[in-house]
Amino acid sequence: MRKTMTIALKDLRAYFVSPIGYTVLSVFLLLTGWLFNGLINRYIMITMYYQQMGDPSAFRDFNLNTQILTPFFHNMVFVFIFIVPLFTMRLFAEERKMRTDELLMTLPLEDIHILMGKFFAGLSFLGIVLISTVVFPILLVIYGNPDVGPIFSGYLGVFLVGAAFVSVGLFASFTTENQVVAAIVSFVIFLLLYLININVPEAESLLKSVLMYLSLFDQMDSFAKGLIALPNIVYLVSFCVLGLFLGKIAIEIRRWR
Amino acid sequence: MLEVSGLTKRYGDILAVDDVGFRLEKGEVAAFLGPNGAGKTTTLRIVTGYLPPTAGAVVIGGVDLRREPTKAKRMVGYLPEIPPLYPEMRVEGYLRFVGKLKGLRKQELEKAIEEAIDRCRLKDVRRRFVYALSKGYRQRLGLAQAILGNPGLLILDEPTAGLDPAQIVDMRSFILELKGSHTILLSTHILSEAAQICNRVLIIHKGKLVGDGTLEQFATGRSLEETYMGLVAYS
Ligand SMILES: Nc1ncnc2c1ncn2[C@@H]1O[C@H](COP(=O)(O)OP(=O)(O)O)[C@@H](O)[C@H]1O
Ligand SMILES: [Mg+2]
Repeated sequence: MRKTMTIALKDLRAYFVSPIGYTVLSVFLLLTGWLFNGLINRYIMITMYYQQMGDPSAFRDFNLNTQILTPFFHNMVFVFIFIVPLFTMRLFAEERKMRTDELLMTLPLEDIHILMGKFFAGLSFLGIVLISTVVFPILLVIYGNPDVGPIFSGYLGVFLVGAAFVSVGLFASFTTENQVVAAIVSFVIFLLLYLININVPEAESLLKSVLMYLSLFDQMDSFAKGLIALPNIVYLVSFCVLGLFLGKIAIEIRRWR
Repeated sequence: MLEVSGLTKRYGDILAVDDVGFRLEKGEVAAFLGPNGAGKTTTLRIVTGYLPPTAGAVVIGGVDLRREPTKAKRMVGYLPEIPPLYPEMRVEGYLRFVGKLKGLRKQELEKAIEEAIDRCRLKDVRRRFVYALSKGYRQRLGLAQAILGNPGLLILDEPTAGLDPAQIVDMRSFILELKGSHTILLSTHILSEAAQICNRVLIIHKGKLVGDGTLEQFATGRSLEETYMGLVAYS
């Protein structure tokens, strides 16, 4: 565990001594802030429209939670598609480029130390990125009265989905010494996961439910609505384990090729 | 301390290392001598567990590298051809990082760092960032990292390559100071360097071990230079 933490700390620190950490953080805040702003504007417009119509029945299910927070969490996960590859790409590809992999692979370390160290570094950075977005929901709490529970469950969901993304990005970083290639590989995988259920048949079918279940993004639905459901957690944690397992295989191939 | 047998490495069609075998006793200082492209780096990378061999076995201090890699690696300090440094770390921070990964703790760790800084004369730059170090200091830091925690076996890949004459003299003197406390295998393509630092010379050419003997053995009869040129020049 000490060796794992040593690697994790080194890689987390590396994010903030190069421009990459600050850049990713700013871009993520900018994008989510912009999307948040869009949701607020839409909310105000719809409210004004219904007020003119004078139809109170239209306000059923119309509140800050359903109209702003739920879509906000979905937006965040969408932004992950572009952002996560940017901070996971360096995790191992950079070591190879700098030839420091020759140090890591010849020190008395197990693969698991390297793998988990890098994973925790990515997770911690993800956590920092998410914490920096807390200002948006806080604004809602200050100026409105949303239900606070879904904010917590939403963040838990976003973090778990993000963790699954990080595990895939880390795997991609183990496969190449070219960071751009690593980023593109993970980007393509995320995009596929995003598109997987776009073409499903409308009617309820087994195929549809399977695809819905496979889609990483739909896992967010219940979290964003304030529900912490065990199947979703199991799915996302298994997804991480699978990503890490692929990463482990990628290291082994490197060791034994 | 180190036993290598039948070591072979193929890169596609290229046979980089061809059935290399030798044995280093504890305390021996051996030069791995050969021209560029002879297979020195490849052999050392296999011995340190960075690359898998196509065939053959490596036993370090009685431990099979393939069966118990972590246990075997604990006994090895390795300075690769390009020192594996993190530019954004400070000299001390880098040594602390490597020390922790070697499993050193607290006082033991701090003591090992002081000793490495002292032995490689890094005192003046200990608070500097690695990116601001000259080539000579980078090489010293690479060596400091390797000797950290006093591993029994040191593997040094062309430790003087790319240094200026003054730095080469420094580096050689550091290695000479390590003689006696460590078993050392260092690679070089410079004959005089092998003769100056080492008691034993292993000559490698086109992946094959073509000469193996102590300096005394080479001194009697044909000189080391004659042997080396004879082995390497034609074929
Ligand atoms: N990764 C690699 N892929 C293909 N060939 C390689 C690789 N590394 C080294 N070689 C080849 O193996 C041979 C030995 O190289 P090397 O061990 O670096 O020699 P030395 O260190 O003695 O200069 C050379 O012919 C080199 O071109
Ligand atoms: Mg070489």
